[in-house]
Order: sequence, then structure tokens, then C-alpha cells
Amino acid sequence: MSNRTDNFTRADSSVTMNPPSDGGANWAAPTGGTWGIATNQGRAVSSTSQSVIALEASLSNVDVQCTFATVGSDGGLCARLADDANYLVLKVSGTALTLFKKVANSFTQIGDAGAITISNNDVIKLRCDSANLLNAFQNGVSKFSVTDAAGSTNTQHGLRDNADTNGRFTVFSITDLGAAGDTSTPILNFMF
Amino acid sequence: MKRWFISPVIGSGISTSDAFRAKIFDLGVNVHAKIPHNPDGTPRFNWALCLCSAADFSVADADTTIEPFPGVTVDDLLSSIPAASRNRIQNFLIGKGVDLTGITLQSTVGDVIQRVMNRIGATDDFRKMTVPE
Repeated sequence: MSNRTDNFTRADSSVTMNPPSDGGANWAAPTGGTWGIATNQGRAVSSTSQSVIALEASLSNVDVQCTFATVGSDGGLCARLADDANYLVLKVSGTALTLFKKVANSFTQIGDAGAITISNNDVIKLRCDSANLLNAFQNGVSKFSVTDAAGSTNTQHGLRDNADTNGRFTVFSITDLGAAGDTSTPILNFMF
Repeated sequence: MKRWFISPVIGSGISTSDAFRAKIFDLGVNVHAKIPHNPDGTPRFNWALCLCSAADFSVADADTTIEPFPGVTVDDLLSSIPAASRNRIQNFLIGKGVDLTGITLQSTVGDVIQRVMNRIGATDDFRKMTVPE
């Protein structure tokens, strides 16, 4: 398995977000929250604390990206997920882009974009490369990066919502960074 | 402006709203914090190495639990730093278990920061740490 995508274009459901549009393995919600579809958009149905839902990609060095059609109060992406106790969280709200690692059920804040405005339909991406550089992007622009090896071999990636059912997600993707998977090496600039 | 600090780690870790975090995160500055964890998810140390940016560091500077690195840039020689500031950070870091063997007046602030990276087990180069302006 490699790249995964879901455009959420399917019949409304208040009980499941499956099946993903790429025809691959189903979304799985280890926290136990309920996720669904509304008007061809993914959403959290239940107001569950720290709810995550993820796709298996069999890859750990990836770009995890989603269009936030409606930015909720405490949504975001999850990456490098092994189970409900171990994963990365990129929290997304109208005024925050903050990265956490969850290890053995404990959350640690490891990065933050500072003052920021995130608007509906913004595209948010978390790049996790083989050097464990974790880089957060808004609409293709890097907002911050940190290095942390938490969950570096975990291969599930997806969405998260924290007691928030207002967020709406459209195009979600997991993209393989390639065999090397290290994006931390600067591109040389030649000056003549 | 960017500056380096050693900040206490606060929080319970039970949720994202009270995550383990560098205290300086809460003081209105942008932070890139190095917080290694134990197998049980708790922070390995009760302090964090932080690269910060802000237009105004007055709140952080007023907090006596947060230790600033002296110097203007990481390339500043320790000999260029007033002795009082130099001795203060030296004593502080030794108290945190940082090995400063071989650090001399001809060493740079960056040399000292790398020793802190070594202490917390970070394998990457501190110069690759970035923080939003």
C-alpha cells in the first residue's frame, strides 16, 4: 500500500465515514468516536474528547494533508498513529496551528505557529520525513518545523477532533515522500 | 528577534489543553521546544531547550524560572559575554547535568547549546531548529 486519498464524496451517514473513496482499507477510529459524512464532507458526529480516525498507509514518511472546508474549534490532523495512546496531533483551529506528540497517553506540545489565522477551505499539511523533521504547512507555506522521533515507524495517518463536531473535511491525502523520505537537506543555490 | 532559553516543563499531559509543554509557550512568544520523553510518555527532564522568537521578551525575561542564554547570536564567543552572565548560565547548566568540559572562552554560545542538545539526547544539529518569526 502507498498513497491514500479520500474525497468524502458519497452518501450522507451519521454512523460511518467509510468506505474511503480510494477503495483501500477502511477508516478506523481507535478512540471510539463516531465519524460520518454530511454533504460530501467528512465530519466528527460525536463530541468525543481527543477523537482520531486514520487510514492505514504502510508508510511512516509521508505528507498528511486535508482541506478544512469548515474550520472547527479544535480539529486537525493526526499522523504516525499506532493506537489511541500513540500518535502525533496537528491541532487546527481558527487561531491555532499547534503540534503535539501523544506517547503512552501523555500529550506533549512540541511546536506552534504562533499568531495565525486559519480560514475555511485552507489546506493544512503535516510533513513527517525520515529525519523526523515534522513540518506544518498552511496553503503550501511552511509555518513551523520541529524534529521529534515519536512514532517514527507508525503508519496510520488521519484526522482528529476534540469534542468538536463543527469541523468539515473535504480532500484528504497521505502521500509517500519516497524511498529517501528526507526533506531536511537544503537545496543548493548556485550564484554566478 | 530570536533567542534561546531553558524553560521549565509544565502541564499534566492528560489533554492537548494541558499538555506537557515549555512554560515559555504560555508567555506570548513563538517556541520550538526540545522535550524528549520517557517510555511512559512523561518528559525525560523537567526543563526544555527552547528557540524562541518575539518582538518583546519582557514577560519571559521577568520570569525568574526561565533561563536565557546570553549573547546576541550563537556565533558569539563566550569571551564577549560579561563574566556575570557567563558564570550564571554556566552554573545553571552544570546544575542541569550539562557537560561543559572543554568549553573555553574561545567557545561560542552555539557550542554550549550543542552541549545542551547532547545532554537531552537530541541527535540533530541545533542550527536546524527553526521558529516562526
